[in-house]
Amino acid sequence: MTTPLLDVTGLSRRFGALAAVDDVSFTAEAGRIVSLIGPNGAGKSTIFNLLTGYLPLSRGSVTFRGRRIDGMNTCRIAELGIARAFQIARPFRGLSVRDNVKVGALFGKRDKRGPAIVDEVLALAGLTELAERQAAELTIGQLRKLELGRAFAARPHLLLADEPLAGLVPAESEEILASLKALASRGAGVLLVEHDMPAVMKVSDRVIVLEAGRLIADGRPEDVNRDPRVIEAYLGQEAP
Amino acid sequence: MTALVQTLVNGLLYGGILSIAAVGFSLIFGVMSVINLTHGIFVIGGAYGALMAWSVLGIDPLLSIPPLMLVAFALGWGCQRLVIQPAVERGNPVAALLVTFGFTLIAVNLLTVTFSSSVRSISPSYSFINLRVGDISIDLVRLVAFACGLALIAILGSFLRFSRWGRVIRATALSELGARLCGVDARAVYALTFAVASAFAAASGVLIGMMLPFTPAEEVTWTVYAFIVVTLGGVGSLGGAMLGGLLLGLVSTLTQTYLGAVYTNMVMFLILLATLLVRPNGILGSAFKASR
Amino acid sequence: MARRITILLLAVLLIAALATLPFFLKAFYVRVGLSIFLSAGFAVCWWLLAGFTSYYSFGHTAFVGIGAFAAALALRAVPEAAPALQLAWALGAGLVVAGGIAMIIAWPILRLRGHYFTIAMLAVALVLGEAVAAFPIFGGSTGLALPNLAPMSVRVEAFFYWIALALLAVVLAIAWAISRSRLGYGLAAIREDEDAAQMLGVPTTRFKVVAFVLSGALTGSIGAVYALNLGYITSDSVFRGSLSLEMIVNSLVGGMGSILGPVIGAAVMTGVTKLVLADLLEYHLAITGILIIAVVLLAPDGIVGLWRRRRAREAER
Repeated sequence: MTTPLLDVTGLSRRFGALAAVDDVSFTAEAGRIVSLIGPNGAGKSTIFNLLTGYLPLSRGSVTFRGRRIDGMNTCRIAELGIARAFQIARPFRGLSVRDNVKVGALFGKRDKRGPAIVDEVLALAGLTELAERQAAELTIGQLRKLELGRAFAARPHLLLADEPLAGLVPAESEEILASLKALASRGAGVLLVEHDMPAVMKVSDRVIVLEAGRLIADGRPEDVNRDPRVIEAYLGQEAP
Repeated sequence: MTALVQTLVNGLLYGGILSIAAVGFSLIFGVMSVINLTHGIFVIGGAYGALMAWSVLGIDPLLSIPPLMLVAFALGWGCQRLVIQPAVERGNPVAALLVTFGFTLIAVNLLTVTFSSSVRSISPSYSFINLRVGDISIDLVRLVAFACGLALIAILGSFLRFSRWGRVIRATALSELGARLCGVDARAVYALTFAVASAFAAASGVLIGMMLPFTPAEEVTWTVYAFIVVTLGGVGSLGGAMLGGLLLGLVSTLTQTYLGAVYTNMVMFLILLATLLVRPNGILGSAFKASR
Repeated sequence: MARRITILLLAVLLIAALATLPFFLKAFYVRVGLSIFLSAGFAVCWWLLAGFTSYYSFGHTAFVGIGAFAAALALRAVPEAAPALQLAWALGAGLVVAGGIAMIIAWPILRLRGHYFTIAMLAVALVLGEAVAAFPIFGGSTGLALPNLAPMSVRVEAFFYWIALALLAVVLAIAWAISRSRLGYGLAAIREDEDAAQMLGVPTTRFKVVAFVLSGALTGSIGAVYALNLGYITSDSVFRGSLSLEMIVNSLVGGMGSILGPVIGAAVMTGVTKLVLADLLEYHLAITGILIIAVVLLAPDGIVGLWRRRRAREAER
């Protein structure tokens, strides 16, 4: 078996007495969409903060493309090829959509191709028609697309998408899912945190379930769906 | 030894004046997070007001404080409502700062045209009396000004702590949105804050005018001193302004006595810079909304 | 591409046309032009930091003063050199010393954000101004004199007019090049949202330091010219709070959103002050104050912003 894109081992983070993330291990592969699910407070967002270096880890290791990245700073991790799309979009409001994407393209990865791919990324994220608009003028759905587009532009090896569907109408959700799939089909790994279960089950190659900071299941969507522990911990609340 | 004690006494007396001269600036920075460059002009305006009352009407400077505070209150209210509030609503902190700068230019110009740019001072009959305690000599005027300064700070403190409007001001400082959700008219609070701050600035100006010579251009000095006092002590708290003022007064007179008068300002500005770099929230640091 | 060449060509033509003006104009108007170029140069330098990153320095006069005194002291070392060499030497001294000091203070001071950075820069300017006034090497309160470097055959005001114009052109070219570069996009991202920029991989600290040092160094070199033109400098004349404020006011009046903003602002403000208000000297400050308030409240994006809004409205029709 080849080495996975991302290998997380024994990841832990304590906030005082609270173990927000407790000894979690998983992997993510190139070209696959892996979803992290779990009730609120399960530790999903903390995991993203740990992977991007926004928070320091208490214990464990993170290996990305064969390199230890735990302890690196945010900016360095971004340069290595991990991009993050926030749930609450943080666009550069004073810049046009095109310039937002261009910033992503120029800084995600250091190579000469940056500016050349802007149009391609705009198309991939469904932003072509909005390219010249100011980011401050966009709707929530459009902002979410821009957030993804800016992350795509960095040509990441791994994209961390934090609830990209929250608050969107179904048509917008479909567009976002389609562009995530398109990104994965180009060989990038996607780590998805999402509460919309039907969407997760449809789009994911693997699903990881967390509860109270611990990993309780990891497998194909259909298997996870039938796992009694998962049903009890999480899906059970919604099952008839 | 006597020299040191004398220097410390002078420093504390001067520091008390620096404290009262900074509370208005501190209040506005803490509540509205606006750097109020008009501060110094209200201070100097107070001094000129007292000069007029004393030389034209023969009123003792100390007695002119209450009416001058009323005038400054009204002027501050109007200035905030007409000019500063619209700039604050632009959401750009620099817009508010620039507007206060523009207002200051106008005011300095008017003061210069009215009173000329020559140096003025107020010297009531008791201004040359010295008290002696052992080997230490104390200017009566400085002592009186110090006492008045403390009294004014105490008045402002009890207004903020115990009165209904004081509570509303403090609540708005902590969270404008929160206060508005509770039915507070934030604009009225800002206007009130500005008016109160202006009134206390003018009052401190009267005390300063009794102790030190002044010119219209001197307003810059008092804005900058207020800056230093507030940064040193901590934004938005009266305790911070007190502490910052007393410390700065001590530093200022110690430098003057032991290093030389040319270094006084340099040392004060270095302290400002060092505080910003080491402890930007000041010694009693609660930054309120200022640090965005 | 074609558009870029047109703009470049127009710029060269405009500069050439401005350069010929001293041959036609009276000395007074040449001096007005010189004032405009100097204050525009300062404003663009200030804008290099503030416009790109929204770090509003309130003490840029520090770099004017450093450049001025570096030039004055440097010229003492070469009293016999040819004037052209002396000029280059003075400009270089202003550039290098101001840039060097900027580099020393950049790291601590750029950790501060918002108001705190603004006040800290004010403090830097005040400290340096007081230090220069206190230490005898800088001439103390009497100040330092600088030699007259203008050749005999050229009118002094025309000489400095051309130097100031050339420097303004250089500073503008640098600003323009940055705005189209990776650095420029990174700085714009820092201005809009520094944390998000960092997450996207923008090396925020390094970029801010680069912008700060560049801004300080260029201000220093124009400060050297400013000093040469004055011929005689004191701490009060070059470490002057109103110089910092002019840079800010000019940029805001012109518009922060464009490189041309500071230039237009400087032209308007200096022109109004020197030409229109020349007879109203007594009320000069008050009118400046009214103008500042009017611009902030009525045209928050400056003159360039007004013009853009009008164009946008016409485009909709």
